[in-house]
Amino acid sequence: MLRAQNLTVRIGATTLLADVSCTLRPGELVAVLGCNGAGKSTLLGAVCGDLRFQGGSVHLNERALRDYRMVDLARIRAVMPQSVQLGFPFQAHEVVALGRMPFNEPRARTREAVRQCMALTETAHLQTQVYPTLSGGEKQRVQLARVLSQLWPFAPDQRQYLFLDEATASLDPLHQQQVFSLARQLATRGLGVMAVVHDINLASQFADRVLVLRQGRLLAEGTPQAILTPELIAEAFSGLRVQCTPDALTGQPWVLPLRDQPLPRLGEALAD
Amino acid sequence: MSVLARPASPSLLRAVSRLPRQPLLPWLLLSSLLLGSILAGLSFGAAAIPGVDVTTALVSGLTGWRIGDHTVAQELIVWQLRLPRVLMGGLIGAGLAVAGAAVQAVFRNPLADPGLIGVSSGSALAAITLIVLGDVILVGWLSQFEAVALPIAAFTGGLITTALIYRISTMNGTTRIFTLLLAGVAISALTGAVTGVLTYLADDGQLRTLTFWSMGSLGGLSWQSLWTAGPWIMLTLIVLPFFRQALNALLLGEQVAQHLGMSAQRIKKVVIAIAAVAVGASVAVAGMIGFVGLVVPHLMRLWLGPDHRRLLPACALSGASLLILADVIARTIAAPAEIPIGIITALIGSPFFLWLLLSQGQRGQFS
Amino acid sequence: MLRTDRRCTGQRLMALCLLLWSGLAGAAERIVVADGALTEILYALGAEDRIVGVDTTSIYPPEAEDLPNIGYLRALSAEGILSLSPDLLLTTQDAGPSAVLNQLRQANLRVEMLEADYSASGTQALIERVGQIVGLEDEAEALGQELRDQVEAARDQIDPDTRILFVLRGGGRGFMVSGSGTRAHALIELTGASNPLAAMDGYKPLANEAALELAPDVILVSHMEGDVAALYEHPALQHTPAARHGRIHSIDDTHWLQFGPRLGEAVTELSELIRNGQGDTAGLSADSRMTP
Repeated sequence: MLRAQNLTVRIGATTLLADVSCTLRPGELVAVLGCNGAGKSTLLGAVCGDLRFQGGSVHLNERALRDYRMVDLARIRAVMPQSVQLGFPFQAHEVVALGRMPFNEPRARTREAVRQCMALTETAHLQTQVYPTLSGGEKQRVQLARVLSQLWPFAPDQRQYLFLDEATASLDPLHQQQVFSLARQLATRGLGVMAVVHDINLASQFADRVLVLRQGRLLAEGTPQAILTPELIAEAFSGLRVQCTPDALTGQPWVLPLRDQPLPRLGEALAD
Repeated sequence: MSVLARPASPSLLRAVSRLPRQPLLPWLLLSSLLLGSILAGLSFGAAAIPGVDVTTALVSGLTGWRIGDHTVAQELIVWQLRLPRVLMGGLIGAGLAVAGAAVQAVFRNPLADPGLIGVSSGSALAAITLIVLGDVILVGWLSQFEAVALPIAAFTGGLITTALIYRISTMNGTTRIFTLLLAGVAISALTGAVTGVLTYLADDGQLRTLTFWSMGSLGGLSWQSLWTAGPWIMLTLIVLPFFRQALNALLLGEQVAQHLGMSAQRIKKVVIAIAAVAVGASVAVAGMIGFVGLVVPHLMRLWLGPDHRRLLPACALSGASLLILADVIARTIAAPAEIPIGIITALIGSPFFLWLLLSQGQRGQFS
Repeated sequence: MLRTDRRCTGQRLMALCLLLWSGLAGAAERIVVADGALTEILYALGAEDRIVGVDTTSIYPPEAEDLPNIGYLRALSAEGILSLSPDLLLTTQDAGPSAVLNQLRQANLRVEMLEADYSASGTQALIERVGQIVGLEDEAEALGQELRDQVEAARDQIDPDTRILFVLRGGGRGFMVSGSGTRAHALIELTGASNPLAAMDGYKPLANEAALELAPDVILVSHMEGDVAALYEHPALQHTPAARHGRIHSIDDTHWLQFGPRLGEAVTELSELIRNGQGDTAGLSADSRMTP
């Protein structure tokens, strides 16, 4: 289990994260919601060990994060960053194979991992394409394949963790669904998955639990049905007005923004 | 249904088996190229020596036996002048190319040059200081050691400058590559200015000496330079390949490298230091030789891809060949005079590089 | 180039070895010269048939340029020199790089690095030293004496207050002028005239204002720099006494600043140029002029 307690992250005088506690159990998919600058990526960075935190603690499988050797950590947790810049002409399969770097294993096993992970992300047809020539969405799916290959073969008893930081940002609706469906299945298989996401409906549809952050603080935590109410969403997203309709089959709320929003009017702005 | 449970389709398996598996052809070609270059380097020079005499002279030099009917002078030219020059030239070419590839990975920029870490400008400053102010610095018995002092000064000057740039760009235990780049530019400008002051102070003769020094030449290389500078470059050639996977990871960014279990900070530190050692040692014994560290890695990357497991050995082999061949041109084209090899590499390298940029620009690779 | 005279080179190398065994003390027979003045001295002594190679600074007499060229004396190549199978490398302390000189010495080549200083007695000593090395002491002594006489004769024929400035054009960005320690300074001193920049060391860029203040009576420009007409229109130089009196002269510096056997001629010609304002001598190129 991942257990973060009273995390506080400051850069200079700015507090990015204040006293946030959360957990992530193997087998569950947790979505992190919040408006821009709410501290979602900071939280992810802190629990992954990317960021130093000034207060609090992070334990992964009952062991403090800083006590891990980097390579041991790499074997049980994979991170999909918001963006990866790669200007060198790797072929897509070579990029995916980099995910197997923490493991000293025969080439054949690496090839097997690459093959399966590229199949999972529907990138098998891209494997000999040169990475910088891929489209934004294709790049993102290749990166996802690389991140997945790090946790392959997703053995249920390994207590592994996957962190996705807006992994669906440049994907089309089908592939957005696919990524979250995949994350859902991996969680079912025993992985702990934490996903930062902007699309409230993806969170509500797939997540077991939702964390809502606002101004670096944890605003709410719970199942989508319990907490995704119009009141909470308005509070979390600077007054965003939504309508929540429970799904007839699952009961998960469908969140639909209303037409009338508290936004600047072009006419008023120009009149000032 | 579940994607995980779906068995891989036969067509997919076939596609995977087509993945390149360490094709042997490039290695055969590169090894033959190096072997051919070494043979050319031993066979051609200002003095025309028949191949059979070259061979017997080599055997005699190696074993101490007197075989064949080559002359003492021929043995001297082959064994004392050409062989150390070819070996050291090969080492320098390999070192510059491998250091170039590594520095490009650290900067995550295929157009980066080893000069960016300040080692060349630092070496140049130290060497030029010694050339111009040598009479003041090397007083008394020290003045006998000018031939030794110059490479030592260049080597230490280069390393000190790189260390300085590294320190400037390291804050709270993290080295920022962008700061490193800017610090490198600033320090290069500064050493350039100090070099300018020294040039102003230099007399006519010193001016010409430092001009020729900065153009680079393999002319003075001997067994002694092989024993003194060679080990440093060998160190680089041996240590850098241990970082081949780390460099691959670094290409995805420092954060991703950390997620993959690599300490990005340690990689940067060691790779920069090791690259500086090779470049510093080369500059110390052969002066400034441009374009090898830039063009060779770039070319090999186009051919074999950016994976450092292939790139580093390919750079070593082709860099060595290129410099040996360039040196053959340098010492035969105007024989019995010699052209500085830096001119040859730049003369071949720059138009080639421009052509590369243009042809790639048209294919949109540098967008 | 690489293959044609292979056998011939082999024989030459054989000859070199015989020479190496027979000892080094004897007069040199196959000489590589790396310095223009030394080449001139060898020609003047009549030892030109012993020269097997010269460097890029050896351009006089013109036939020296037909000999195999070993490159610039500060960037020598060991194998290039050895390929000429010489028994002597005759050069000055300017030769380099020192690593190559060490290689040559290790190859048992006799390397003579002579000290040249820019004066009449220094040049005379240089000639005598070369004479010793090639075994032509008497000829060298005569040549040296002749040079000394010429210099003495030319000396003090001009007003010691005549201020002469030697100028190199710095690629359109002002001028480099010669202070003490330069050959130009030494030559000016030999004529008995004065160099207004004697207090300065080496070649330095000249500020326009300083050019006015120096008030040179005569300005000498290297003939490598092209036409002197532009100097008469230069914002600062045009107001100097030299420009006002049409005393900007283009000179053949490769001859006049050589400090070899023709030093006597050079001093005589310069002295004449200063006195008469016009030289019809060999050292003066066609574009020197009296009037702007």
